[in-house]
Amino acid sequence: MHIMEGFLPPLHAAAWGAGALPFVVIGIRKAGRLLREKPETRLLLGACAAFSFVLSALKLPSVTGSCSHPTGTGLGAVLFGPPIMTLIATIVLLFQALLLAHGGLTTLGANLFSMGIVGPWVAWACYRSGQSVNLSLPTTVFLAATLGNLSTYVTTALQLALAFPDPASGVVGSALKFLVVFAVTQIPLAIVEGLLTVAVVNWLTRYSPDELQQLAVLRGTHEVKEACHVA
Amino acid sequence: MHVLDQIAHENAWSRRGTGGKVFLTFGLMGTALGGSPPFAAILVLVATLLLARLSALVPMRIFLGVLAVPLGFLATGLPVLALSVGWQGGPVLLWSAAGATDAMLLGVRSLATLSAMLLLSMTTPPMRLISLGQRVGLSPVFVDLAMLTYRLLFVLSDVALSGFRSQSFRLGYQGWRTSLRSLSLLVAGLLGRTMHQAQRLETGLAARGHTGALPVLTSLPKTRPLEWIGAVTLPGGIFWASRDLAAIWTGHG
Repeated sequence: MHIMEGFLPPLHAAAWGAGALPFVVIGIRKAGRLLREKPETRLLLGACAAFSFVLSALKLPSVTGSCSHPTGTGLGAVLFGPPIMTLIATIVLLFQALLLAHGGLTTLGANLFSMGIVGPWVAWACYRSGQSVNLSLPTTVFLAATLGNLSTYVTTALQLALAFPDPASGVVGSALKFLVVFAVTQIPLAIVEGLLTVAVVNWLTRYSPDELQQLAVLRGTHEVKEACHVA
Repeated sequence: MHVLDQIAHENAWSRRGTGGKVFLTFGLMGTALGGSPPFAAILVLVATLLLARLSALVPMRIFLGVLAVPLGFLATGLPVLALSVGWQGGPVLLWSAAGATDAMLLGVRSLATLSAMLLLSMTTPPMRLISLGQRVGLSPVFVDLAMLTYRLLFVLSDVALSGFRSQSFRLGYQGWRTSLRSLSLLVAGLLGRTMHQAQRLETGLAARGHTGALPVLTSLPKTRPLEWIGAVTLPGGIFWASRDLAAIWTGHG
């Protein structure tokens, strides 16, 4: 759920941009270190960013009858790791604004915070927690993708509530309004994206173990066992 | 996406200086956000539509079509601002006239800033914007990856589209369960193809002894003095005109 161009007050837009900047810098540093150590991963990184862009342009069938696009935060975090996913999300959001009019330049920081930082880190935390308590892979991936998607929607609702507090009930009332209005479409979409991500990961573990092993380099996990276990 | 990219390369402003266009865009956005509402936003909206149609020769049907993309977000977001949550023995929704006015102003402002951004994106290829970013100090890693991504995303989107069409012709999107299965196969297959493509490119470059960055040569036209004057005076003029209009309106009120 992208906040459209010009929707946020200038100070809020700048504040979210400043909040997202350190995470982008960390992502750039990690990618820079990776490229110095393994220059051959340059094309892989570019291809992964292009994949994320195309993934976000695909239409997701929703149980409510409408169509939307997957955020890809869960799948991206599981495949590439959160720091690299933040860098990829920055590039993807920039091209989405310029080529598709999704999101915007002034709202890039706010959208990046929800879709490139909160979503991937929540998905990653769910994934690692699921692994640590020995949940099955489909359950872990489903929780990571669904909660990653939901957390982006909750963050966006909070960003809007902070920008436009309710005259009577303040930020809390405004947050409730945005959460309830967007919940009608976002909760079913989050569940569908969770199911889709489980199906994608099942196909990948069955038919593309080599590619998953290759992606482990981006996440910094070199163990073959872990790579074959998707993340 | 392909259409917008094609227009960005072929419009009458494509040879204009990138720096001047970026300055004009951010000037117009700043005016729409900081000028007197709603006059500043309305004037910016009108100015960008006129510039796009009459000067840059961008097809209006496509410009307006893209401008309509985020209307869904406005349709769900703006009514929320017109309602207020109160407490009368339980939570109740109350109509707020002030909130409705703010929502309308916000809708016009959003459309104006989006229109200014579209004026930039439909008159300037993204590669030139990234090159400009490189000149003003963006991280080389970011610039390198952004350029590579831009090159690859058109190839991949064509692959995704052809895969989607093939699945559709085989009734792969009939019903919800089938759609989900087809889409998961498409995404998994696309990731495999993406990585094979990257491997093939890497092998080809390695065979030529390449180990470093992949510089992409992009021409960056210089902004002429007259373009700079327009980029400064138009937003400034709109800003002051909006203040005058607001003062006249208040005087009448």
